Amino acid sequence: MSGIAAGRLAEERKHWRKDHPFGFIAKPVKNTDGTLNLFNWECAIPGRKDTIWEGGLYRIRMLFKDDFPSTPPKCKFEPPLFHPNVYPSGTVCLSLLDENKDWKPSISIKQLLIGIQDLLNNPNIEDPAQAEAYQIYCQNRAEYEKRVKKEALKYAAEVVQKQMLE
Amino acid sequence: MAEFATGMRQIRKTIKKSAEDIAYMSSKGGFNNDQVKTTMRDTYVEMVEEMQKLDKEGQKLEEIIEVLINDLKDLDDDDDVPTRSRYDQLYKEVAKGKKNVAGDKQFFKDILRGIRNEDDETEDGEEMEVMQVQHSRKDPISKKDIVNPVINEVCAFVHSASKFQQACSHVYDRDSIYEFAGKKRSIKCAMQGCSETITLSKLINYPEYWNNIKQQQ
Repeated sequence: MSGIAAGRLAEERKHWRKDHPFGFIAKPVKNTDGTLNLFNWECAIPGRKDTIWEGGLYRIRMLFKDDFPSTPPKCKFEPPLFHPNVYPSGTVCLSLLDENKDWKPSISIKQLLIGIQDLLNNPNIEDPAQAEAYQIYCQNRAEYEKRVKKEALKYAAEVVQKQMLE
Repeated sequence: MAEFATGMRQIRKTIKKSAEDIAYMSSKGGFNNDQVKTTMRDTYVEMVEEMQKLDKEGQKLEEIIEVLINDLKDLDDDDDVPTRSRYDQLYKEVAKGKKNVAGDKQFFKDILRGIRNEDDETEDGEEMEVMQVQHSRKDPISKKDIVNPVINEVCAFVHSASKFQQACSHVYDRDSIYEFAGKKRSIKCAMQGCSETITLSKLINYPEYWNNIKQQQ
């Protein structure tokens, strides 16, 4: 099974290097011996323009299992993000990332990252994953927006980009 | 004589079967080029119209034979044996429309309408978009270029509609889908938004794929 996964992930990397959406980052981590670990990707999603998330670049790790693409990767914000659909651990709760819901083997890494970017500004209140962001979102929208903008400043794109190059 | 009438009915049946086959071919489509599509549609319509003429002619002969058979049955000793002139006379009667012979008009009308309608649908912009998604160069699982295109075809022959229905028309690479399925006999279609199940034993080769992707390049 891992033959399919490795082959597919190599193709994903090829496609990403050829063409990817502006401002996004996605790259497999390097093993200590310098080779690539295709099953562990370090990614970053920019906040969409004209939203409260604009200006920030949010780091997210994608962990693939041997049976990918039968199963979706686990996507985890590092550090955990203030958002109603992100668990305190940082893991994203999204139907697209659920094997029993909308995950399909044909979905690419690019589509996943764009899907998560879309989730940032369109939280799903039916499926909360952390109490703090969920409660503030429901009870005090002004406070919620203030908190998000603070996150955008904290993870300012220029700073995070530099961090990722290290 | 009676055998002749039976034979004629068989021929008419075969003609109708052929017309259905043309309707099926037309429903499969597969031509992205508008000019080719129009030419093919015109050809299909022409063929079906010719078949309708043959069917009409067949029914005429059937009617004539029936009259002649009755003539023979009622034959008394002093009557004339039916001759060529009697046949010609009957043929003229039929041709003049004294007898109501038009072949199976409704049947051919439906087929022709089917061929023309099918085409109107594919000229729709939305439909074209779907065609483009269907024929990506890449296999949806491996994301590598497709080498041996296969498609899932379910032999649900809906006789009244005269066309085969494809369970889902997503194209896979044969090796890729077999490796992915492993020991499973069927898998859920890997494409986003598609809820069909693909049974591996029902996959068929799909060489038409190569014609369809060329248009996109």
